[in-house]
Amino acid sequence: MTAKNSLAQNRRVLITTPFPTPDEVAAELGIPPKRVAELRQMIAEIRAEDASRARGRSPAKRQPAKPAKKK
Amino acid sequence: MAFTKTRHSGFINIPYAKRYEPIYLAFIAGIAGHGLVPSAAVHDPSSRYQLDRIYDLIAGSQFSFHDLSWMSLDRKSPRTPRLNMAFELGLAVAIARAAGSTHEWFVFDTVPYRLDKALSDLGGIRPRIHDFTPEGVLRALMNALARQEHRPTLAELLEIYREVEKGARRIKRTYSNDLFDTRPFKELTFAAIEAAYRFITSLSKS
Repeated sequence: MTAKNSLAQNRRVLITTPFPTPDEVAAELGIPPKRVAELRQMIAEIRAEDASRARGRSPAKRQPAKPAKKK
Repeated sequence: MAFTKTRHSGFINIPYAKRYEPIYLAFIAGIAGHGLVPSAAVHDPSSRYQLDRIYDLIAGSQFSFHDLSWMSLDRKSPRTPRLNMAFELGLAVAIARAAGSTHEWFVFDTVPYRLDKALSDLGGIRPRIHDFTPEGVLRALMNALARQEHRPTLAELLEIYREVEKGARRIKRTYSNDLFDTRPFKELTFAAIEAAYRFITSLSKS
């Protein structure tokens, strides 16, 4: 028995396999196409909410600061 | 012994407990963000023996990630430690050492040098330490994994995590309060890969 696997534990491994696509992953996990579409819709809604929240915070939407009152 | 390997999958071995949910989501996000398909022995209503199922899942994965940070007794009577994580690590070590195997395993903890005492059989193995935060887990994963192409940054992994976490909240609101179930796990994995394609700059341009 070699110590190969123990030594590997202490270093960083390099992944050379291609990055799987979402469609490949959905097929591998057995997620039906209809549910994939629903999940994509859910993700789109989350992103839209994020974008809307971010716009609400953008400086362009802020009210201009009121001029200081003269004493 | 021959193993059928799905070259790009990573088995997650963590406690299935409420307080570990952010850690679980971070492992899903971090593993997917490195171009691996997460797998886990989540609750499965099938009639297969749990041990057979876990063995096949680990043997079918190129990598396994074992978080041994739960070292206390649980609250349910009779109060017991959780031994599953250490047991599954033992399975992974045996699988990795079988002839022809290329399986690689990684150990994670939250306390440096604690495993030297708790699991001295691992002497000489340096666990990846995280601080029980999602960012800590992602940093620890980056310390274990690297990609030749489409290498994610910490900021990109955090974006993937945030999207997975929002997906988890939706799942809880709509159909399952248990994220450690088969369907939520699969759907969170899908969401993580989708997020990787959006947030990892080189992937979103490809």
